[in-house]
Amino acid sequence: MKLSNDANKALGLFLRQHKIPTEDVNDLEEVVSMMPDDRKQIYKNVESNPVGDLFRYSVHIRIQHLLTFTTFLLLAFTGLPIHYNDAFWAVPFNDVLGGVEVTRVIHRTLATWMVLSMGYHLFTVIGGSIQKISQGKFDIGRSIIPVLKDARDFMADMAYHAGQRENRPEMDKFMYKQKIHYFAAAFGNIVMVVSGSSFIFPEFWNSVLPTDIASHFQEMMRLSHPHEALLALLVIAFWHWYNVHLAPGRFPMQWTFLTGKLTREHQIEEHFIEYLRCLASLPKERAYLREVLVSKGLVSASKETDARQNFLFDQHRQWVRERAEQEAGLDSMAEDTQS
Amino acid sequence: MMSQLTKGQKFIAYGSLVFVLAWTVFGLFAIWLMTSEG
Repeated sequence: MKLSNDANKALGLFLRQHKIPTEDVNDLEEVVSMMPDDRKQIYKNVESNPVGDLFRYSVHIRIQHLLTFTTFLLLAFTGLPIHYNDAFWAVPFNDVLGGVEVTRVIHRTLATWMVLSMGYHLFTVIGGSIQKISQGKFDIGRSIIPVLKDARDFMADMAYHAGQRENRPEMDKFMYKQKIHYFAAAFGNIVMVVSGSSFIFPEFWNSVLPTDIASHFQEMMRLSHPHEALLALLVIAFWHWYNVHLAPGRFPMQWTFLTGKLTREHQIEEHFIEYLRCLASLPKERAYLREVLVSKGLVSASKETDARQNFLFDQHRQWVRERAEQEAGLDSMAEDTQS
Repeated sequence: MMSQLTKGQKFIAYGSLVFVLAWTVFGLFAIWLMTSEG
């Protein structure tokens, strides 16, 4: 397989940042050249454990997702009877809890937990990024930050679904759809926290906002809180749950939120660049894929030419050589100054 | 090629699916309330 420019660039950066040894890079080059150009052939033939094969999410991210979805569902469940407190179904619900005043206290307590989980998330995401930057291992393409490639991926993916392309684009750890979903949720959370806090701390918002805005602000927040809540409920029920429960290949459930692992099939199809990184860092995965390609007769017919077309590996070897020479040069300089 | 789920895993997966579908019905009910009560 001849890798795309994007895949070449991302993989080259990973090899340098993680100082992958030359023998592993040689092995990787051979496995990549063995891959057939039609990626469907690979992901339809590899074995996948539905519970997950390859690591994706840390335990922190999994805890944050659990906190977010439990508080989200319970907030929706208590928020609706507060908003419609005189509706026929809301009256008995509020009565069971001890009146709408009690439902309100429960709703606000849950909201505090949701804000805490947001804080926890920001802390791990920002802290983790700072750590990666300081270690020289940060790659913006591997993060949730939208880049120009996402727009290209979107166009290519639409072309694939319209039958105009053989394969889906080579997407990174987070694809365009996940980035849109993530920032939609982040925006929704901010709207809910700002509007919700204006009900609990009206004096605070009055004191920080200019007088002519403050009088409209409360009314705007009264409108936006339930409407943003409904929008979020719709997005979760029809978009997110389709993608993780009902979509072909995910049915009856995607396990990543519990196990932190993604199936091999899914990663090769939708996150191929991340799969290449797995191949680079996991000798076992390379051995497995090589065995599958050979045993199923999928080895690329143009293996020889493909290997020569992949400049990435030559570039990497040159980079390793130059680095070694530089280090040797520095050593000899240090010896010179010592003597 | 996806391998088979064990019995316990099937229970979790389909149980969770039933839960989210029930919640979707609840969401539709909520929308009906919002539009019918104005």
